Amino acid sequence: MPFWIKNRLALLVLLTALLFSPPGRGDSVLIYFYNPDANLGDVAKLKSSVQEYFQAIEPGATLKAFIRLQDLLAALKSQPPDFLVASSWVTKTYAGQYGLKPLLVGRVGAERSYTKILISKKAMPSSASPSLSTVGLGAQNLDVLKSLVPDLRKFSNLNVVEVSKDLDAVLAVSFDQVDLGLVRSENIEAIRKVNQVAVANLKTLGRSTPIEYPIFSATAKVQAPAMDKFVKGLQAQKDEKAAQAMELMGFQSWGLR
Amino acid sequence: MKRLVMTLLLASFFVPRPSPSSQSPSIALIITDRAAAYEMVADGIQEGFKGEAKIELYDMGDSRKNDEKIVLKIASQNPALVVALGDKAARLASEQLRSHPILIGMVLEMDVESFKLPGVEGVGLQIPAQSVLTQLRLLVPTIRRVGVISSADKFLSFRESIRASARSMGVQAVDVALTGKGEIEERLNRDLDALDAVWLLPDPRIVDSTTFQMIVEKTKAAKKPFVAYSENFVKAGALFSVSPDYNATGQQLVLLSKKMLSKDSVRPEQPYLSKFHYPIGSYSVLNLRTAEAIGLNLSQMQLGFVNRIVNGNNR
Repeated sequence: MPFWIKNRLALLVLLTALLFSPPGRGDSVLIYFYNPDANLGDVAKLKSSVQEYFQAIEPGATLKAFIRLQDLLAALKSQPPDFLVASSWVTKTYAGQYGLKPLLVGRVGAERSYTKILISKKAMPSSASPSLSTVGLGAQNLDVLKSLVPDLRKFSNLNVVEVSKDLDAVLAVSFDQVDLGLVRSENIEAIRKVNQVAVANLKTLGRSTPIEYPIFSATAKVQAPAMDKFVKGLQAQKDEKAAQAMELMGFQSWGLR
Repeated sequence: MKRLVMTLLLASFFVPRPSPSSQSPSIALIITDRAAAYEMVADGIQEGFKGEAKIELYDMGDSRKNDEKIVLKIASQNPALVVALGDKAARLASEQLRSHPILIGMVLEMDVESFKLPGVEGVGLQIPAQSVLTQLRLLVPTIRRVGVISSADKFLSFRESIRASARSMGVQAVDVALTGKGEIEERLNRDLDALDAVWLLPDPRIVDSTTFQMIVEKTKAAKKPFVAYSENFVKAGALFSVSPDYNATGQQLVLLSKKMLSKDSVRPEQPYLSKFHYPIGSYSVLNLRTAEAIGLNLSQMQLGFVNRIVNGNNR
């Protein structure tokens, strides 16, 4: 075989090996984050703090945080990451489609899950398609909404107005702009302290099933050694910087899934 | 065979065409121009009606010159509903398309005669006073007196709703009503000490870059929160702003449109200007550097109530 063909073949083999090799020391690792329940006011701070947190395990880690689900889904298609930290319902809904392997779940204290409450100023609506305001789940995720909240399953349709924070969902119910709201009870209590009137007439009509805290998953392109490295590394980090990063993501520690 | 074809063709002229509302309804969506906010809301409306309605989009190009052309096109479309975004689109629709039900959105000045006519419904841009005050008090719970800056003859109804909302929350809203820009400095010098915060309403008659900077400097020096109505003002030094969430606005307009198409009542239970809906949702921005400058030490939980945090001047 001529020399110049042999060398080109060798180069091709090397390039192919590099392309399909798992992330290693100093390799770039792409991590996506999405948790609408995390109150992502300071995205810049979250990105720098959480990116640094992952870089302590893999120096080449890059974090992208998403505010909107549709942007995350578009990115998962166009530029699949290596790892994903996302709301549990996102992970469960899209695990099959994107080959996600859940590895760790967030915890707050000993709790692996939280619930949301269904609120209204009136009794459960009699309309077949009431309006509802909530964070993170829009009209395109009605099935997920109904699976999370059993009391919503009786409605053939839901007119969802997705808002960016629980406060807006609470006020939308309080101002009679929507029939129902789905929010975290601690946010209602925070509002009660500064505006008793806004929450005075709210009733709890139901409760969601337990919603796991965000899940850390690997995508299909990540090999076992890299998964192992991150699982061990994330569980081992317990300093103040790690605590801050996890708080920004919406939990306090990791547990095995 | 030829006779059969001719007969069928002739018969087709006598078959009544289905009205737009009996199949997928047709909606005329007029936007004032292609500004990002209008596009975002228009996209939300189109997304919300995907597969359920046929939406034709009309762009006014920020001009009333093409009114006649647009009106003629809409007449031939014969929509079941007209949705108009922005002041110019809302005026065009309410003045010249009154044979159709009309839903207007993203209009700051709602106190317009043609908007009050029957058949016209709307969602304003003004965030409810209770929402702004609640969000401000989540950051600064000790606030008891808020100075509200605007022209003396503007926002009369909204300023009344601010006073009422504030009262219900145990807060006093004090009108800092001005006749011109020249008065701002004197009024702040006189009143700022007795106020816990200052809230500037969207009134270009009394605010320009000079008066704005003066308000920023005086409130920072007095360590008083300064609430504005736009992210750009927060980037330029105000503490906090609350403005519409355009994603939610689009969904709200879809909700109201569906009700109007079904001939359901859309009367708001807590209307603005006796008729219009307040927007659902809000988008809040905080300047962390200004917060530090006025001595606010905000917890992670408090920061969690804000949509976006900026960290300095124009950043």
